[in-house]
Amino acid sequence: MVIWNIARATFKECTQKKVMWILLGVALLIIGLSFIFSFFAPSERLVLIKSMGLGAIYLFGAGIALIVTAGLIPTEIERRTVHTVLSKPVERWQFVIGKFLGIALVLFMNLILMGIALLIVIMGQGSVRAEGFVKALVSNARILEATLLLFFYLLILSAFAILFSILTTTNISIMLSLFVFVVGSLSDYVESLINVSQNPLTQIFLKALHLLVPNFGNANIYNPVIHGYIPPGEFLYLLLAIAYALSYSLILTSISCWAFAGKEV
Amino acid sequence: MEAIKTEGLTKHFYEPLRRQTVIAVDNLDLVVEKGEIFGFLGPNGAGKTTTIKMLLGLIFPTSGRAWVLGNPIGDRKTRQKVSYMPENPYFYDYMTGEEVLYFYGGLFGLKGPSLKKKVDELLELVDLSEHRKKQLNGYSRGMLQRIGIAQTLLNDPELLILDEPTSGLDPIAHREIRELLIRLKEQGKTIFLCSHQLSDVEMVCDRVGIMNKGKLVTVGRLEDLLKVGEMEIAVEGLDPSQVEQVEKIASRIYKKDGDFLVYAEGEEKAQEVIDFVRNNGGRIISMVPLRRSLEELFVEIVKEEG
Amino acid sequence: MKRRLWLIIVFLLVILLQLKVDTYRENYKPGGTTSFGYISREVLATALMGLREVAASLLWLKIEDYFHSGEHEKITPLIRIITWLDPHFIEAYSSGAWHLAWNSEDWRLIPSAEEFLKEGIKNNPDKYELYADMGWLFYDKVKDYEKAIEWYKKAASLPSPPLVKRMLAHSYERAGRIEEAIKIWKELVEEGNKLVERNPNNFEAIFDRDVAVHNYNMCIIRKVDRAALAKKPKTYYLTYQVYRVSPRILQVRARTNLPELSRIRVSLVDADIERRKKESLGWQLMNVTEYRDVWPQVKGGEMKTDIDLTDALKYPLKGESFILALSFLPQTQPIPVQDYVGWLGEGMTGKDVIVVHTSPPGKKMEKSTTLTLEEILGQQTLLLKEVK
Repeated sequence: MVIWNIARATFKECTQKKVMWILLGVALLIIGLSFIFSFFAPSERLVLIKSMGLGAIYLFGAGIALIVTAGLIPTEIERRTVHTVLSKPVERWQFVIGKFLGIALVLFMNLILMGIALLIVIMGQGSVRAEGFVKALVSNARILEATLLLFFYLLILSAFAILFSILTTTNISIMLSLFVFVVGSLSDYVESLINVSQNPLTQIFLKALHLLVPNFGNANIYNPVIHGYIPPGEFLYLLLAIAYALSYSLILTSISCWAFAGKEV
Repeated sequence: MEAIKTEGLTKHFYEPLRRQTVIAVDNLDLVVEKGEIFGFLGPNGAGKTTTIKMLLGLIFPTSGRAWVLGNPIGDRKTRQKVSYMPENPYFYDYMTGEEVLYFYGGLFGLKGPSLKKKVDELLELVDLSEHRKKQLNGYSRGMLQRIGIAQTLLNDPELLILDEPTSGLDPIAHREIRELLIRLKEQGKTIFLCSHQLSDVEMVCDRVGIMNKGKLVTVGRLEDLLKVGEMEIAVEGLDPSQVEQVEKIASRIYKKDGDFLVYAEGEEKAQEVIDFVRNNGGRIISMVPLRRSLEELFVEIVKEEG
Repeated sequence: MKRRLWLIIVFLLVILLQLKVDTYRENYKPGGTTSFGYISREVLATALMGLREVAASLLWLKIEDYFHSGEHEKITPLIRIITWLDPHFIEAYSSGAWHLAWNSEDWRLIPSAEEFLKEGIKNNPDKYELYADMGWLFYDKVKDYEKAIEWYKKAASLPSPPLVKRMLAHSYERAGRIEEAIKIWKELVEEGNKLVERNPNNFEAIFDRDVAVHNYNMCIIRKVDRAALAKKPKTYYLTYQVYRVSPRILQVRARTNLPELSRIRVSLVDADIERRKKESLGWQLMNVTEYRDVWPQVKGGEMKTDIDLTDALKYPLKGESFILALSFLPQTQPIPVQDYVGWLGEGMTGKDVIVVHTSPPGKKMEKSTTLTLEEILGQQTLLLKEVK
């Protein structure tokens, strides 16, 4: 109840922020600007629209998660709104979880909006509609599947941003989280390097890095989605990948709760 | 059971920029009884807000202990019965007046029609009913202050901790708040009032504590603190020779159109003066125990401390 | 302590999940290996941040530029990067292989084209396109019709347009397996009829059906005509002289009674070409010389063509001796020529004709001679060899 109250207030607060709408607007603009690919052949154009669109969702989703989340708790402390909340019968962890859930709602809304926008653009392509509206809609709905998976991975990013913002400041939190995001996005390449590397020490280091760093790359199922085929075991993959994201977020949020419980506000 | 009790409550802040530790609250022993209005005074930086934040569990004491409503500080259930209004309250300015109250009400676990009734009542009480749908970023300072007071009453608290509740209010609102405080006291609530408005404190508080530089310098009943021990006795009908005799008893005398103002130190001396006047055919017009103003006391203490 | 335990347990769960996730990750990762020699930093960053397919498409545009500016040598490595970034970019495999096999005009690259298509097929086993490309490589370029049949069969077993099955029928016909060709044309006619019945206004289907009908009829006619050829085969001969025109330019002058417009394949390769090919791993076959020309035509009983080896990159001439061969392969001949000699040379005989033990067995003419490095590089114009 208390948590839900705080989550709702957080959602409302975020949706009042101009920066979120600007980021969302730019992302939608990029998704909508697909007509610039008109000089490509229809099949290539579709691949480009999907990949550009999914890429824009990935980057701007992360941008929204970072910028909106990192400022949340420091602003409360700075503007002292946190005093009136925490002097009520609210536990510190309830406050953190409430903030986190609020952000989750914000991210969900953003991703769904971007995903649907991309779906609309794709359905707007003549070559897609040619195979029949319902069939095309069903096959391209996997855009939303990829977007939904990304949602769980952006939760990790937000959990990082919250933790870092409790321990440091908004700006440092953004930089640290961005760093984690970039390293985590390279997970596929790190994994490939393990096989290429000859040095066992390097291999161990890379493997440890791969297992410790949050692997945002897990959210990248774009290739099959773009080319419209379903790899074997995809359902299980999605379950595992989501479980991974949730567990990772759980760790970070636990630490955030403990850190915030000991923080003087 | 005391509403607030602290034992050796101490808070040190480390200032990394100046590389020194600042003692914000130093070994504070304080008791606030249930049902009283306690005025908590002190110049800026005396440690009042730090003390309040420790009592509310927002920051943690370096040493010492404290209880609120009989429970150790930091207890969530206690905060159900306490309410707090910070100095210059900032609320979520994207919310409307009623949304803020609904939000805080929710934090107290209130919901449904009872919450709605409470919100309506409180908006009426602080005279903001017509602005209830307006976002707080469109509120004036006084309106924010009134919303701040409204939110302290959501949970029907046993203890109210108010930090500068009357700053920024126009005179009428100011008086209304003062009356509200007295009404709350009549309902048996304890009020811990931090204020610069010494006139407010003087008018409503039962006891005051004065802090300076982290230390509680004075604490006690307001009358006791302000009493200076001198009586001002207005006398008439004495001839000059008799006046000379009175002068020997009194600490000083002012003459005014054949009347005299006699100041006597202590009750015994005062009685002597009275007896002398009556025995010598004079008349006592009035008799007033002399008091300092709170302001005088405050300035005196702060000056003494340097 | 409790907190630490909690963290450790959840973190172990995280690690376990990632290990499990990794086993599925193959399906989503970039494909194969590549070098980054030709990739710009911006594109690389785009790719790394999860915009792999965008990067691939941008590089694809770049290929267009290279193609028009004639920087052909940059195209192949770039296509390798594209297919690494996006292993399902079929177009890239397709055109990369085309580039290697046809556009480069370098016979040494044909195995590379084949390998490249095989990699594409491995990454996209369910799409017909690359199987069909492989079929076309063997049908049109290598002219190995048995292999073309193999690949077109695979392509036709997947959802594909009628053209694929038509090519399978053509491959059978070229391979001399006329009964199988007829069977497929018949199937195509029946399938076409069904489609046209269902929708009489489907002009595409009508066209496809009519093509099948025409080819079916032609196969039946040829089957009868060419069966007659085998009964009274004609004696053919082929002789030629090899001249050196200038260093690295040779001229072949052949005399023959082969039908007008017959195509003679002229090739000049290292004497030890197989060993050399095996030794040169990778894409650049710096030590291999492989000249082939399938186009020289017989006109008025003569065939004359120049062998131009002046491009030292393409024809390094690293060996000591080279084999020059002229061949007449009935399978590869234009249809009017096949009308005289048959699909597999059934209508041919004579001391110059060799029997090839294929199934069904065929005949061909092939005459080779050995040239030394000095003979090719020498200065003055000279008759080098006379092959009777």
